Amino acid sequence: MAQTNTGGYQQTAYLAEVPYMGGNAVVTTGMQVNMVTDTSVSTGQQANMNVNAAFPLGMQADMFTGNDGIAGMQVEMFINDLLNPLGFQVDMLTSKVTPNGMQVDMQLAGNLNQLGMQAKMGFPQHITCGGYLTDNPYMEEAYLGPKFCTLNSMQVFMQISEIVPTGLQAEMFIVSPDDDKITGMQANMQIAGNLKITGMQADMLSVDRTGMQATMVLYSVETLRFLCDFESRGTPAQAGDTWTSVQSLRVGDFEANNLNTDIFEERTETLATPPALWELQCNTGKTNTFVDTIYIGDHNFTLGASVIFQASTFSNFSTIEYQRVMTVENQDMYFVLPLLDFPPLPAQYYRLLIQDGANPGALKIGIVVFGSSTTFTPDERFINPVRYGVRHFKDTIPTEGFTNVSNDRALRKFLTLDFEQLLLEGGNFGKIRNFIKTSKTDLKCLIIPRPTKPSALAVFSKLTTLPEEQHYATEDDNWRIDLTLDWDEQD
Amino acid sequence: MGSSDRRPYESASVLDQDLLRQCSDNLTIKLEMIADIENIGAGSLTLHISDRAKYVGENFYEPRTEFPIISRTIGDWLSGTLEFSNLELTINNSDGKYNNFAPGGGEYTGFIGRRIVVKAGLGEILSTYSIVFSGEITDVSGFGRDTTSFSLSARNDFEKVNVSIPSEVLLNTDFPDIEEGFIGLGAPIIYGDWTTDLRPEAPEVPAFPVNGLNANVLLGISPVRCVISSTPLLSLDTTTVTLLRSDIYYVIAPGDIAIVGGTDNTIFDITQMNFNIDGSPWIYVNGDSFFVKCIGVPLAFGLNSNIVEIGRDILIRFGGAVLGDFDVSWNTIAGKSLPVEDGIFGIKTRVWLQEAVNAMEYVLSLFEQVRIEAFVDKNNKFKLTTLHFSDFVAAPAFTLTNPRLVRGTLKPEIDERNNWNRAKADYSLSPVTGEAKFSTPIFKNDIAIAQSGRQISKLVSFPNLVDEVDVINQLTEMIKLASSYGEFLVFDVTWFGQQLDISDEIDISNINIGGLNFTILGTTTRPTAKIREIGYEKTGRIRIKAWNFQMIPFPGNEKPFVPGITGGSTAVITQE
Repeated sequence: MAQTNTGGYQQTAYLAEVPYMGGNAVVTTGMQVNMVTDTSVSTGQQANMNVNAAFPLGMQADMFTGNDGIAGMQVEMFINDLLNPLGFQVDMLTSKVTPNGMQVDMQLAGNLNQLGMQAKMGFPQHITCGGYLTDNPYMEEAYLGPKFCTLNSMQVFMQISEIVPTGLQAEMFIVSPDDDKITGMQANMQIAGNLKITGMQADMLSVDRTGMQATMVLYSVETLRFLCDFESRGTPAQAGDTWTSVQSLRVGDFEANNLNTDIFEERTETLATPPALWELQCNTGKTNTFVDTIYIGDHNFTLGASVIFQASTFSNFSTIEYQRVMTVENQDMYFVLPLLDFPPLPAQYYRLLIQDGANPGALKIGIVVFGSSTTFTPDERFINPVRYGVRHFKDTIPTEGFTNVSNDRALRKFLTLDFEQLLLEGGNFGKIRNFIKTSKTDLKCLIIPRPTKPSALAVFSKLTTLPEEQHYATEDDNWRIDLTLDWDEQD
Repeated sequence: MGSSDRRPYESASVLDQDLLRQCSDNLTIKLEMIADIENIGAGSLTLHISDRAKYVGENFYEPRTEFPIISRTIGDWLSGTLEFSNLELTINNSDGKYNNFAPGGGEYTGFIGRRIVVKAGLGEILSTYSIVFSGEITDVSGFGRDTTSFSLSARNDFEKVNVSIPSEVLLNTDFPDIEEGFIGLGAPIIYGDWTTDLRPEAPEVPAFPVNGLNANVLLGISPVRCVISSTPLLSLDTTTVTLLRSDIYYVIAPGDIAIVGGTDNTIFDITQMNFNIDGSPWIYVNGDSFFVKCIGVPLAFGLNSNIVEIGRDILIRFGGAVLGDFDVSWNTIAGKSLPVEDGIFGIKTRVWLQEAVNAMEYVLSLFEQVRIEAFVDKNNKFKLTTLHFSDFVAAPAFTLTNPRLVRGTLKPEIDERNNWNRAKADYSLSPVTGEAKFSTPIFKNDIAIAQSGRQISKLVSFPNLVDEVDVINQLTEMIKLASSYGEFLVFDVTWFGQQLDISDEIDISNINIGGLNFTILGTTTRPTAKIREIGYEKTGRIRIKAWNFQMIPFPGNEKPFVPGITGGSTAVITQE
């Protein structure tokens, strides 16, 4: 996967526009570490390293100098301080006719599937130089927010060819009997909202040298996601009573909470003359719900309709935490959050604001679900081809006229995803296992294989069968699984 | 001819034959079924059930059942048995949603007697839905359950009105001095004119003494009280009240007869000791019998002897039916006077009923004598149709064609049961003997006998008809029908036939039934058929059993060029 660094903490207006130590990568893979030193101590080390996929050496460094007589190693070094031009000096000699410049042999514990480069890097050195408890006036800076000055740093840009898309792999497992109380280390992993983001971006800070605080968010809009736990359905105590319509609904079995049923046909519906603005409010019953995926199914909005999803911590929506403007598509429409909010914005109350002046009749919605999806990490994906389609159910009657006649019933989507060589202890296989454990074959979930174009392949469906797993289990550290997941909305 | 709207069923507000035609042009429709189970639980809720999740009107129907084939039938002609239309529904309760309504549930109030209404129509459009079955959950095996479902069994409204009659019996709680031998006898039901066409020796309607154990009665001091019927009488002839003792009839003087007030002529007292028997004043003794002349239940418009109105009154008076339950055909047929052989209006009918029978079965037995059949139609009304040649339709509006006939389903079946060519009749039941008083001569169809090479004889009973002319008319018409080539056609049609109902007649000239079809010979020889059973499948397929009239001439469709005709309206029936 190609990687292009387009700026960042050190490459934009220094320390001004980019979050502290944050890099900007349009297409980021592998690992990016930005280490920053204060400009007043502008020595440090900068290395650009390229690994060419065609020549998969562990590490290759090209260094350039302007001196034709130097062989073996090319180093291009830029020292801004012309008065003290010795940022980093290497003298290397070789007697070889074809000198190797610099050769580094790295041995990675002899496993067959090691990944690119293994690096052990010391912790960057920072000191606090002001902040909440230090600056004057006392305690008027950002709450508990120290200022940091970096004594030295290193900035490394690593580009790893797409053909060997490994770069850096981090496998983190936190095992706790109570997922709500994970301690020890908290990791929020975030992938900036670029279209082809993979890999990982980590911002790591040392706060007053008291250990380590790391926020890492791994979020992908390219990979498969499941949504089975619908925040829109509220808490068990609410018993499905989460939705209200501010405007009057059609008399009959068209109540707002029909949005919470898994039956598309059981819908909510406005009066025959719809309101100019239809506001559907949802109380999730919890103060800290997060939403990255929204599905509005079996609606009859026109393509010119406006559908806005808003979040608030107040039941009267006096303050809007954020809003998502949804793109209206026929019948089924989706919203997949392209970039996670940082810090995340929890809310309890959500609402849909719908305006569809061009609709000739009542506005109808079959189902709404939203919540925080389970996403696949980018290193493993379903394989091509994806089998997807729509089945037409009808009763067919053959006649003596040798022309069948039909009695129309329904259209239902189906989806089949094949997975190959999922690592047993990789996170994705565990997610599939958890998904199966949750949904079995009797709970409908929202499945979005390609969140970048959700409506192309998404289904809201039950698994037709629990998959048979084919295990390649001769090596513990390379235990892989093939399986197929199959959904059909007729079930 | 194609419709500009290729899916007209999506916007139609009426489901009629024209819409079915438009849909048939495009070979597709969206015909669906729903069921309402009424008055369930403490809240008297209606459960809305279907085989798919859908709305109809304001109600959401949950996908909890698979509809069976829902059939209705008129039964077999002259079978003497009542055939119900049944519905068996299994309701999925695997999620326990209806546990509250099941035995042990907090809202259990039972299912027996609850009404199930099944309708068919287009998509969500309420106005297109019509009833294909309506009935009540039966008291025998009407409700069953297992851990994941419960089953309901319902019968159509023939069951509801098919109560046991007479509903009243003579009891010593009502009549403390009644003799043992009369206790438990049904209090008779009487319709029609019992003042004429009687046995020559005496009136025929019994009157039952109900105070024969009273000491003063036995001393002759108090009058003997007699009960004639449990139904009101239009009139009681007090001049002809007759005592029977030792095979001798004594007409009691009118002055000794006193109708008990407020009893609608059904109870009267006889003053004793005003005439002598064997030289002594008459005093009641056990064994004395009384007979009267009377006219039964007074019916609207003076149609006291009209067989259709008698049947209707029985169903209303005892079965709990209301006027709205009856299709207009009851009025039409009750007033039919021509041709003479089919003139229901003029056929004198009377009823004296004491032995327990079921009301609807009895009414059907009445109608059978004049070739009328009753059924529950698709609008859930009691409807009448006739087997009168004069009512057969020469050119039915519905034409069955191959594109509407389901492939491989057409199967002709010979009607062997209604195949006879020689008959006589008994008629005019006597309450005294419990048997018909009179018999007709034998009548026969010689051509049919010659063709089949044998006489197939039948004795037909007309217990409720009085006049021999009427009986012979009915008998000869029956022979004409029974001596024709009797055949049923069993077949399925596409949903194009969704509007068809029992008794509808269809043109079958455009399908191959294994013989010549006669369209080329014009409408007077058009083969037609009359539907006797119809079943609705959830797929939209309609199952039909029809009586094939291909070999039965009738007015306007005399089939003059068809060889081998033996029966029908043109048949010659002769007295033997």
